[in-house]
Amino acid sequence: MSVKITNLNVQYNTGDEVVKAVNGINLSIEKGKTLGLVGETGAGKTTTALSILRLIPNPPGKIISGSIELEGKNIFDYSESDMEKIRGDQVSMIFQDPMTSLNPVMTVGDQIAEVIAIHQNLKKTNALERAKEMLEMVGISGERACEYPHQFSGGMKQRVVIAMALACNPKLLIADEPTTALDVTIQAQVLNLMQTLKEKYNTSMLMITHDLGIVAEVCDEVSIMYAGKIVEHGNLVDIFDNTSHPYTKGLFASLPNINKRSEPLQPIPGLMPDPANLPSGCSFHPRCKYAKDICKTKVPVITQISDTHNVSCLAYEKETIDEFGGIN
Amino acid sequence: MKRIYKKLIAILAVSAITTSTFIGCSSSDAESNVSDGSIQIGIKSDLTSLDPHGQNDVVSGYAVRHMYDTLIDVTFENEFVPKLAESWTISEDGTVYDFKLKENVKFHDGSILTAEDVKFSLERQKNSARVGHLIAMIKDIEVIDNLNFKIIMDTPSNSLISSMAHMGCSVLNKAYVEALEAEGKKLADAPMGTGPYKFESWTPGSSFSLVKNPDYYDSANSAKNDKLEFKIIPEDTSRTIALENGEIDLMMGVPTIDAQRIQDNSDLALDLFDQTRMEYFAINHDKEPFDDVLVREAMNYAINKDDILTVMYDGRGETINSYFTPVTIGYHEVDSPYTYNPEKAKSLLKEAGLEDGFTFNCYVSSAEREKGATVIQANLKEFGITMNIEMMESSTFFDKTGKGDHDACMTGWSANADPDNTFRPLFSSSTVGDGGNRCFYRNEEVDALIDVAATNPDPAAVVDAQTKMFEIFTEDALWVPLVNPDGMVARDADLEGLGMSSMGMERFEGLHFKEIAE
Amino acid sequence: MHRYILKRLLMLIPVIIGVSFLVFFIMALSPGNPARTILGESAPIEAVEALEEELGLNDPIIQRYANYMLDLVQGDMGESYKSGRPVFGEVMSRFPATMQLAAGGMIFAIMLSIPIGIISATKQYSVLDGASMIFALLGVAIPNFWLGLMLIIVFSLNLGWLPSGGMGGWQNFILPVITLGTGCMANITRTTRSSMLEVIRQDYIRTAKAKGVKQKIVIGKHALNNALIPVVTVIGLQFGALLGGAVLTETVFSWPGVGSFLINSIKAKDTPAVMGCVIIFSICFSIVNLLVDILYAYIDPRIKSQYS
Repeated sequence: MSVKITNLNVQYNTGDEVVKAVNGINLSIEKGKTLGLVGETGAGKTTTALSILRLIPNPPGKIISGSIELEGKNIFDYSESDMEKIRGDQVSMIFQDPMTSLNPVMTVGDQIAEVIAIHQNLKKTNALERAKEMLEMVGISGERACEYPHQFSGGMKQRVVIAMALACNPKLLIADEPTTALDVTIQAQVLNLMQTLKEKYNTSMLMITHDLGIVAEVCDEVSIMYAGKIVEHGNLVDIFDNTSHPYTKGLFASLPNINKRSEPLQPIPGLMPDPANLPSGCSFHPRCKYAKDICKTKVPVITQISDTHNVSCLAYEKETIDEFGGIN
Repeated sequence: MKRIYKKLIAILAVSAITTSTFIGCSSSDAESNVSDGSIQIGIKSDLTSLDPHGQNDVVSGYAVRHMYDTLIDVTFENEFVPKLAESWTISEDGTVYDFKLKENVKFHDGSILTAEDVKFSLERQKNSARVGHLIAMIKDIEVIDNLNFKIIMDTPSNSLISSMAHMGCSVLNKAYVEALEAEGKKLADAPMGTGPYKFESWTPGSSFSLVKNPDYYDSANSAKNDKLEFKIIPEDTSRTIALENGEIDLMMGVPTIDAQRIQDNSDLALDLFDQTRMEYFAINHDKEPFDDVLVREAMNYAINKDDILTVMYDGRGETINSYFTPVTIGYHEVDSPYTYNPEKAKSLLKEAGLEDGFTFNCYVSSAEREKGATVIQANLKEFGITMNIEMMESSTFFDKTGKGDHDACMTGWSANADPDNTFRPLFSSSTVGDGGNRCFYRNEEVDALIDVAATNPDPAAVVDAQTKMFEIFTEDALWVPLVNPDGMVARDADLEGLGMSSMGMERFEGLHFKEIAE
Repeated sequence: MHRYILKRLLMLIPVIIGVSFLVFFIMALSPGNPARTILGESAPIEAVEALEEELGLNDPIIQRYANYMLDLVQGDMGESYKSGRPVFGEVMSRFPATMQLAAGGMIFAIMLSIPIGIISATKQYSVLDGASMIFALLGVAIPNFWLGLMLIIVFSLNLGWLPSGGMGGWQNFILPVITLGTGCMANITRTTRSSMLEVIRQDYIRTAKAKGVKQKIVIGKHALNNALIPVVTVIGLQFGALLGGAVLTETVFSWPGVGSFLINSIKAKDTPAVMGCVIIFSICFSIVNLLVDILYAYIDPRIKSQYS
């Protein structure tokens, strides 16, 4: 399924303050491709994902403007019952914490069977059969379908979640940090599993992560998100070898280098800004080592560096490029 | 969702089934009744026992006195008249009473009353902790023939006749009770007597009912209704509402606050009658300063009894200066100087050296008496006297006043047909404290007079002794008599025929609905 | 699971011993003479003393307690001082009435509270939420004594639709059940509401929505099944309270239940009757708690594994 997000703006209005979670982002995913959405906690990644499913909790969240097109149709035109048909069937989501994502009082078989029964109009017994097949597919014995979530380990729970998400062969799979809560060995298994299934069904995938290693392994294209904006986008070569945005550079620089173990780590100074109180001009300027005065006032726009690669930074914009002496 | 709801439905179903089963089992019929000849009577508490020897309370009496008969009856005018006894004579020395029974008196099971039954009943009664004391004076009962027997005592007693009128002396059927008890059963569960009603049912806590005995020996006084249903409604307001609703036809025990409402309702009637009940302010002679007669006299002048009558009973009744109420058997009028006279009270207090007042406590055990106590408290305040009212629950009250803990207390008395049963408990030195003499009054002369009144066979001597006692009490300013409240019953305006009593011994067989005039 | 149930049932024994000990000594050591209270003010002292002797009140306390316990283990709860009838019979004859009232009141309360709690939670901060919270609060703030009388005045006296009291047909059931039930409502509503609020925010609810499950089913099945777990506990506890606390309602509606029997027995200082009532209540309450715990295990599979 092709996904096109144009100029999406999402805010949370908590009464005391307005939290600007997503501020005019553009994203697109081609059929069968995996887009990685990278950023620190609080960047707005989950909000973006939830917007695609229109699951932003309505008070206090609100989609201010923008459009999200799935296969050319804007989902904001759909009714709630239309969305219910899409969720779990055409678009599925895997959430971050497997420990809490499953209903503790329903058997895993029933939970998987539920999504099948809703969308494929199968009778309960047939849906349960199908559910058992899905369990087998993710490497869990079908006999365990009558067991409850608390009887499974974290990794297995996540597999159940994956089984649930893929049960109806969705065209788009959104994975919100699916392995963050798991340990490294399990992480590898789960990623592997996702890759296999993705290839089998030609599913598009939006992989949300803050782990560049996963990006390298799984993604075709990458969008870097900061303070609710996409600051850089490109394919793997663009991002890894031709890193352009200061933030992206900072991310890579902060990775520990196994060869240079005695060297001190280089974090990006400062913290992700409070989305209720974003800095003026370029949101990154307080933390950017290349920042100039103009960054405080002018909001950067998207600059195309190559066919596949774009960046939002004044240092690359024609008008302002001279103020910077090139950044590297 | 399905599972939870399944469980809830299961619980609901079980409850519904249980409920309907039990509703089926419970007493039937809350409907009104003019057509079927039954009278619904609302009462405040449940009966205790249907065995005359197992109880001694007014409510049990409603059932017992209509299922069983006694040898002698006492009328509303305080006359002792024959009931099951045809007649009796008393020997010269007053120790032997010869009784002749009425002929052909049938028990509910058809058997005929004989003297053996009487002997059996009295002997069984002697063993009862609750009513045995009534016939403690009887030494022996001698059966002469089927209808004649003698009661023999060691010393004369003026209480025998009145005891015979007490429901504790109901006559049982010897063969029936012996057979019943031989099977290990209890008379209380299967009562049977000679009375105008037979036992129908008792649902403890809820209701009990009696049906007419068509073969009652005294056909002139046979029941004018077919059935009496007593409904237990402990909450005063609920009982009044039940009367207003027509759910009951007669209400025994009318709460003072509802009396006016009932009077104002044209469908209902409020009957006031004289009763033996009196309320008094008991002063503990063992506690200072009440050991001083001057102080006690002062109390008698200091208290405004009219206010107390208003506050406690809305004015329904009389204030009293006497130690028995006028309708009590044994009452004789004596002069009394006591009136509401604060000046006199003040000078008496001054004479006693207490013009600056003093402090004392007064125990009460009901909201009604507390109201009266507050009037007294206000009255006494004028003299600098501080009375601290201490409200306590009744068993604690009995306990403490029994021990003489109190300086004073608000209490009352309902006399029955035997004057000795009032004189002795209230005024004898042998009954101070828990025996009933909560004033801790000890007077040898009075003790002797009590015995005279109890045993002297000469009626004139008895009257003299009783009168003298009242004079002594007045002189001693024994306590402060307060009020004699009116008895009240409320009924449907068309209901007639209630047999009144000043002693809580109402008769219900005459109850019937007036024919509505065309 | 069976062992667990057996263990809980065995725990009844120390409960009964403890309860009987406490109640007996409280009754015996508190002021008041049962014989005097039963016979009344005007009874002569000889009668009181005779009754004391008959009731065994003159024996030393320890002996009386020992006698009672000896009888109890043989299943004999003694006779009421007041009526002389066996206590077990007295209590059990009134038990169905109290049970019906408690069950009825609880069902009424549940049928109203849970939906109100759910609506409050799902439409938090709305007018409905505020109104239902006030409604539930009124339920607990209004003394049920007053409520009962008001209901009688309106529906029985003024409108004449329902009888004013006593047991009888289903009509007699309505007002007492409403009176008793409204007292429980606040607790159950509040617990349902807070439990729902918490559950709705859980991740698995989000998962359910992301699966395309209809909102009604998300709330009614996914959320409710989880939210009811603490509610079941509260219902169990409240039911136990209802059994004993129906006293006021029983009095107002002349309902011949154990509650009013207990109060009258306490006033009369009728120790065997009080002990009988309290022991039976304790057993009842323990069993209700056990049932709740078992129900709990069936609702929440995590608990079930703990029991086996």
